[in-house]
Amino acid sequence: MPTIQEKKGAPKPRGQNPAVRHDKVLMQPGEYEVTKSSTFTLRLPLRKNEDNWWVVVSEDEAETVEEVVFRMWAYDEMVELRKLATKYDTVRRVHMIDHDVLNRLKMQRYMLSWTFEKANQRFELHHVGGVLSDETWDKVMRLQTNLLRHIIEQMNERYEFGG
Amino acid sequence: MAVEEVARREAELMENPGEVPVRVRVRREGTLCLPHPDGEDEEKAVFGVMTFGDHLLIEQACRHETEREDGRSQFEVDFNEVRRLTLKRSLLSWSLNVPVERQNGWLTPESYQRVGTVFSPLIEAFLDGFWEKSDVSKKEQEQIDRQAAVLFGKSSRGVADACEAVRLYCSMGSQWDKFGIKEDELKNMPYRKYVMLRMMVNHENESTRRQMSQKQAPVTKIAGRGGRTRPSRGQRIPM
Repeated sequence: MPTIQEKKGAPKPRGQNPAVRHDKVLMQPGEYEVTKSSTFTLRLPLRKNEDNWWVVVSEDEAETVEEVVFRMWAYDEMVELRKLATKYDTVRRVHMIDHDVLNRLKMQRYMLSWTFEKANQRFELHHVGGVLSDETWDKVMRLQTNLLRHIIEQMNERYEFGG
Repeated sequence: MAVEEVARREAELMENPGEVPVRVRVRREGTLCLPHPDGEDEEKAVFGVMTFGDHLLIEQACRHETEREDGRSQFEVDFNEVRRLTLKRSLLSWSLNVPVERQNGWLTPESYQRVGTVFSPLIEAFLDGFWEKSDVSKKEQEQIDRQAAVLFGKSSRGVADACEAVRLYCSMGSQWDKFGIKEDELKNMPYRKYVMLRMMVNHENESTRRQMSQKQAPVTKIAGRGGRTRPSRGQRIPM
C-alpha cells in the first residue's frame, strides 16, 4: 500500500492561536456599541437678515433648515482625542484641556456630512482616511462664525452629555 | 425619589460593602443611548471599591517623565489614562448587553476591546458617578476644614453633628491607636477613607505646630500652695 511521506521542509499547518478569541471577533457589535450607523443629526433653522444668516429658535420662523450629521465617539476614541488636546501647565502644575483643539478634532473626525453644500458647492466635505481633508477644513472655517458656534454647542451637548 | 427607594439603595451598599453601584438615567435617540437627567430609562454599572492600593497602583502606572521647555525634567500623571485604567480595574458588571470579562483583578484585553467601543458619554457618566462616591468632593473638603478647625481649636469641646471624616478619625484613632495600621491594611483601605484620614492628620499636625510656635503654656498644671495652679516648670536635671 503506497504511503505518502511528509515532505521535509514544508510549512506546518498553523494551529489555532489561543490569543484569537473567535467568539469575540465574530460577534457583531450589539446595542450601545458605536458602529457606522451610530449617528446623530443637528438641525439648524436659519433666517437671512441683511446678507447674514441667523439661527432662529423655531423651525416655523426659518427660511431654510440645514442639517449636520456626526458619528458618536466611542470611549476609547474619546480618551485618545482628549490626550491629544491635553497640555500640562508647568507653572500651575495642572493639566489643561484645550477645548478649541478638542472641538476641532471632533469636527474633523466625526462630521460626516452636512446640507450646506447644496447651496454652496465650496462647502462640499471630503474625507481622507476617515478624517476631513485639510482643504475641506479650511473651507469649513469659512462658514459664518455664529453658525459654527451653534454647531459646536449642539455637538458638545451630545458628546459631553449636556456640556 | 421615594423614601423606600433610598432605603433600598442604602441597604444594597451595606450588603455589598466591596461594591459601588452607579445608576445613570438615559434617553434613547435613534440608535444612540445617552445620559440625560430626565431620561426615561436607567442603566446601572457596578464597580469595585477603589482602595488606596488601587489608586497608588494606577497613579504610578500613569506617571511618566517629560522634558520641560527649559530642559529640566518633570513627572506628570496622565489623568486621561488614569480614568481609563480605573475603568479596567474597577468595572465589575453592568446592565448593558456588552460582556464584561475579568481576570486577575482587571478587565481582559478582549473584553476591553468591546467595552471601549461603547458610547463615550455613557461610560463617562458611569465613571463620574463612581469617582463621586470614591473621592472627597469640594463641599466635603470645606466641611472637613471647618470642623477640623473646631476640633483642634484651643478651647475645643468636640464637634456637633460631625462629618464622616471627623467620625472616621475619632473612631479609628481610638480603635487602632491611630497609626498602628499595617501597610497591607492601608492598601486595602477605601481610597475615600484614606483621603479623609490624611486630611484630618494634616489638620492635627498644623494645630500642634501652631500651638508650639506660640509657646503656649502646657495644658497640664501643678497645684501649689492654697490650691493655686501654676504652669509646670519641668524637672531641672543638673549637667
